[in-house]
This record gives sequence, C-alpha cells and structure tokens, in this order.
Amino acid sequence: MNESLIVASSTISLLGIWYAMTTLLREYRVEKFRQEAFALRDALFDEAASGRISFDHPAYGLTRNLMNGFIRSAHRISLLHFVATEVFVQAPPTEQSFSGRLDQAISTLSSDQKKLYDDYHTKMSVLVVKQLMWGSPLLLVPAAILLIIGFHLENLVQALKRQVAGIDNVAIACGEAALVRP
Amino acid sequence: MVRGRNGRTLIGNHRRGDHLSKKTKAELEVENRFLRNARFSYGLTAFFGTAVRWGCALAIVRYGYLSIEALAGQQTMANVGINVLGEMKVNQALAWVLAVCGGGYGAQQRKLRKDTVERLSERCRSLESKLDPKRTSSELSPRGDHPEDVP
Repeated sequence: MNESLIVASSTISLLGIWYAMTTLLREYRVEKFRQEAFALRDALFDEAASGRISFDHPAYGLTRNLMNGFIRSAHRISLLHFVATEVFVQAPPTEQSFSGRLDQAISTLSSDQKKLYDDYHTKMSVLVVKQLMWGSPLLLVPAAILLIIGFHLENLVQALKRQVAGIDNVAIACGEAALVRP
Repeated sequence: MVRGRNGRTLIGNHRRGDHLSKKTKAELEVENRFLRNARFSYGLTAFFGTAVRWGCALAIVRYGYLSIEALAGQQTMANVGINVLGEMKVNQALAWVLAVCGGGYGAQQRKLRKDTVERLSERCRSLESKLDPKRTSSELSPRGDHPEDVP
C-alpha cells in the first residue's frame, strides 16, 4: 500500500480511538452511573414504601436530594472537577453541610434506621468514586492496584470520606436547587 | 393523601422539599457564595477538559498532516511520524484497537439497555399487578428476550 495512504489510515484510526475514549466511553460511563443511581434511589423508595423508614423524615428528603443531585450532575464528575471543588469551593459551615445536616436528621432515628441511611450514603459514594476512577486514567491505575491487593471499594470510600464530602455538598446543592425552581 | 404539583398523588404526606426549613439571610448568603464558587469550579473544569480533549484531536490531525506532507517531499520534519504512522503493523494494530473499542462499546451499551429493561420491567410488573391482579404477560424474559430470539 502507498505509504501516504497508510499514514492517512493510521491517523483516521487514531481519531476514531480518540473519539471512542473521549466521547463514547465518557457518555457510556455517565449513562451507567445514572442507571445505577436510579436503581439505588428506587431501592431507597422501596425501603420507605415498606415502612422501614418514613417518606416524611428529613433524612429521607436529604438522601433522595443527594441522589437526585448526583444523577443531574453525573456528567460533571471527574478528577479535574473533584480537584477544582477542593481548591475553589470553601466547604459550608458544618450545620449547613450535607454530612452535618444528615447527622442532625438521623439523630432521632433508631440505630437500624441510622445504619440504613449510612449504607445508602456509602453505596452512593462508592458509585461516585467508581465514576471518578473511570473518568481518569490517573486514578484508575492506583485504584486498580489497591483493588487487586484486596482493598475493597467500600474501604477506599471510607478512607476518602472527608474528600468525597466536598462533592456531596455540591450535589445536594444541585439537588435542592431544582426544588426551589419555579 | 396529598396531591403534589400536576395533581399527582403522593404517598404519605411527603412533598418535594418538605425537609427544607426556612433559611436565614446569613445562611442564604453562605449558600449563594457556595453555589457561585461551585459554578466557577465547574466552568474552569469544563474549559480545561475541553481544551485537553480538542488539543489531543488537533495534535493527531496535525501530526498526520505533517507526515503526509513530508512524504510528498515538501518537508522532512515529520520523519518520526512517518516511521510510526506509516508502519503497516502500527496501522493494523490501530485498526484492531478501534474495532475492539467499537465492538466493546456496542456490547456494553446493549448490556446496559437490558439491565435497565430488567430493572424497570420488574417495577412496572409489580406496580401494575397491584392495580390489575389479572394482568397478562408477553412471556418475555425480564431482560426482554424470547428463547427463540437466540440465533
């Protein structure tokens, strides 16, 4: 084959791979994250419908709005956004932060109900950390090594809880912004 | 029973935003500042993300162009490009990677669609059965398949 044609064909293949990595993979990960978050939100709804928790309790509203916020802003979750949030967004006072409000809301609940909310929050955080890892090869490689040596994703999330709290605050703001929109 | 916006019936007394208490001016100012900073951080991220993404595409096109130009005898700057991109094995490897990317993407999208069908059909079935216990079924599997669909 003519060498110029080979170069042109290689360039087109490279552009195709670039498109697959930067657009198709990204879109797929966002869709998958949203579907998993929808499933988690449905499971939380089922918990309330079965009477284990109350629809009227503030903790339910907070957790659901957090999920809605993440579902709405799934396309923004990336390592770059995570770092920019840490650097530029000053955390609100504890009583206005998501974790502070959730702690206050669940203080009146039974230990089983507290555990249930904590489990759902951890599951949501696991989804977010997975999304962060898939969105960044820089994170994917060390995370894969940690997982291979037997470090569970839940433990990773527990270790990163303080850092993930920054994104929680942005997500809950995003989730609640829709409630006051006319 | 409470009716929400659009007249939809809500379970219990749950309304959207019921848990949001009235905020003080100071709290609203903190929230406003927080939202502005979050918006700024997203804008910055979007700008750099787009710059890196399209910068890569531009680099690929420019490198390919320079290689072809060099082959035409107008330049000799892109010899490395010719050596790499003009190599038949590299060309074939790139084509294979692209084919795997495309096939993998299609397969994963199909799986995601079927997972979604499975999740939603189960909820739909259980809710509709409550309204109509004699509800009939298409007898497809929860993932939307029929045994005879298999080629």
